[in-house]
Amino acid sequence: MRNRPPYIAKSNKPFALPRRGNGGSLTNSSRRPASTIHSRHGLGKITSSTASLDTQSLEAKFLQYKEIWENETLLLSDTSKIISHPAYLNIIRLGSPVLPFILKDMEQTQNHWFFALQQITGENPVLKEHSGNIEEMINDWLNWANEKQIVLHKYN
Amino acid sequence: MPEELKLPKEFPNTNIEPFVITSPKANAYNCIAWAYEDNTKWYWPDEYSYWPDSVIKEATINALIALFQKKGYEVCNNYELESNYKKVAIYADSENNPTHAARQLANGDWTSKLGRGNDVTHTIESMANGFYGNVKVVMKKANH
Repeated sequence: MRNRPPYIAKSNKPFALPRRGNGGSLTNSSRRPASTIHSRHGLGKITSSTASLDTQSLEAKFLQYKEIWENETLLLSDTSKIISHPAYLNIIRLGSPVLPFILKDMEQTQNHWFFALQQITGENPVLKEHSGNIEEMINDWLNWANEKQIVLHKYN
Repeated sequence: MPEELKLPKEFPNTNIEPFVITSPKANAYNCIAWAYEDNTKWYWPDEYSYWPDSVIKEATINALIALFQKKGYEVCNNYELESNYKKVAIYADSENNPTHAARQLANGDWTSKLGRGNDVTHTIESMANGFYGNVKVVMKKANH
């Protein structure tokens, strides 16, 4: 049986992701209202960005935050410290448009994006018995993305 | 020629007692796992990591002691090399939060996985007063 965490309250707006479009690129760039993600790790509310970013800007933001997060948490083993880093939280605040970038990065680098994905989507497809097995956890999320027809972003 | 890793900001003593890199960076396992001789999982007492069901699930030194006791280690009072014994060292910060674990090698040096970074071989002194704090507990078990 899957061990699913309690649902994390967020925006009342329907959860919509970019669907498969021409060339596999992001097709949804519509403005979204602010949504509030309630962290269960004592991090307080994580309010996602309301500004609409084009794909290039979103990619640049993601890569900027990712680089900072990777460098400043490289030596850490304490997961709570890794996921509470400001740059990691900034990525969560980018909201669902950043999901294709996160998923692609996770596929390529095995970065630990599990908390971010859970916060953004409100879901957790990782099987309990896979906890800590990074490869299996990634596969659980990539299978989830495939079921949701989320196209992993190809970097320019 | 072994590659040395000097992180003077994080580990001041690496100017005189450097780390020797023994693996590429890897996201699959962390220091606790490496000290536990398992490079297939990320160990931490939370829902995103591996933690044995039978071990108290809290980020405390006592929980790490219980984890290594499960593998046959018991607390001892020094980190010197003793023939026929394996040792692990648990590090903590100034507030006694566990930060790191290292495992002793057969020649008395220590091996550590630096978070998502490299495995390194080092001495206790090369990591002292650094990013992980200092050794708080040493445990040993008989070699079989």
